[in-house]
Amino acid sequence: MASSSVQAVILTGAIQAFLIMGLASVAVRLLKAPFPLSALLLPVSLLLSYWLVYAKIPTFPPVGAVNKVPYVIAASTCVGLLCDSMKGPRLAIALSVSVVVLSAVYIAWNRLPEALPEVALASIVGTVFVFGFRLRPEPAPAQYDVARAGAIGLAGLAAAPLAFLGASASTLQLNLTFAAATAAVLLPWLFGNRYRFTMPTLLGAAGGLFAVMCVVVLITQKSDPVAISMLSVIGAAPYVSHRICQALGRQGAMALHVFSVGAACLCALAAYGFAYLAR
Amino acid sequence: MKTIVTAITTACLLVAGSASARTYEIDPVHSSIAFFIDHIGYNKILGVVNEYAGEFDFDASSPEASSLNVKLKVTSINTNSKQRDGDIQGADWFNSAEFPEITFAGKAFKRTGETTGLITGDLTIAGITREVSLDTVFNREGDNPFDKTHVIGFSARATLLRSDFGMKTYLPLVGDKVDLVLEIGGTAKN
Repeated sequence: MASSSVQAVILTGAIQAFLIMGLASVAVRLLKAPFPLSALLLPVSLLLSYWLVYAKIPTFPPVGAVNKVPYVIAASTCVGLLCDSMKGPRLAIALSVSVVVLSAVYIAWNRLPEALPEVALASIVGTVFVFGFRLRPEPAPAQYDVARAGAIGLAGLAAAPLAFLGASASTLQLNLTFAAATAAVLLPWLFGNRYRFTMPTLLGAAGGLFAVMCVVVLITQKSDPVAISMLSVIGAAPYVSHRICQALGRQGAMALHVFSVGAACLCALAAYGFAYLAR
Repeated sequence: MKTIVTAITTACLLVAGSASARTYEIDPVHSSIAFFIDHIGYNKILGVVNEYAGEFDFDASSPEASSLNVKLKVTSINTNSKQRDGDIQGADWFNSAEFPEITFAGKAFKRTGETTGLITGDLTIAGITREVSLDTVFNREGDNPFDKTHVIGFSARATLLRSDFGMKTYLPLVGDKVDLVLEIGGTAKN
């Protein structure tokens, strides 16, 4: 009875997120907006997932690391919008690094200065994670942006069990709900090439997911930080997939997605293997 | 005449001494702070706080003028399971990394009966403060027969919802309602 109730709660949240974000994604696809609204779908998915799991919008200023997460997601998304509007690659890099570092510092604020080394390491891992998603070949193959967005959802899915083993059932639920929402967001965009993965997606969704895992690693401190860090290279899965497709002479979105998912799974398996051996 | 004056003076001093307010320090060796929480409807889990400190002012003739301040160390909570004790320190529960202490500050003290009262105060857990009322029974006040220190004893009970303090993990499998049980012994500082 106990496990079925826990599963029911997780499943209910995932279905709710899937339906809500699925409808939102279809609506955005049908709208002919001058601005790539699709770039906001993943950050909104992460915020919705937070709300479904914690059933609240934390008061401001937030008290406690968990309550800081939605504000980090929202602020990071806004920084991403600013990057898009200013269109400077160096600015984008600088702001990406800043968002990662400031997120880690903000989440772990109450533990500073003793946690400074951990925050520094988390910032490095977070930068690797976020910059993996920035890898984009020119010209990019069709559906490459969908593959990048999918990799964020896969990162959340892969991190979920490690968070649960790290004594955070809420993060397990949040990540699984977000993964379901990501799948719903991307389904309507699997045809054509109109989905846009821009800075709000990168900083709001990938950066937001990093903030979620910072709570598990820097505050709860019962998870395996090395295993979680190994997931940081998942962002490069679409790029690796593209290179594999090129090497094999495979073209088309299907091949890209299959190899991207495969690369992400290999990364996750390596992390789980390490966590299992290190226990 | 001299005898009568002495007797009256002594009587006045005795009455004044028994009715004066004193400051007491909570004696952790002779006190207990515990809580019960429902476990999937099968039974209740008992948790005990092993490290805490506090003091209170109390005057039996004027309990409304009392004060109470207590600090509990979160990492000292023991639920008879090493894994559970470690898990509840995390961000989903007591979040001891950010908030290592639980505090209670009494604000209002109301007599409800000859030996009963209601203490209302601010309970702060994991950075969230909520008003909680303790149903309190005044047990006894007197001198410890072993070391002659002036001691006092209370029993208190309260019920709160953990979700009010942001702890919503595993609801409703692990109960929302938490029953507090406090048995407090205090040693007079003056």
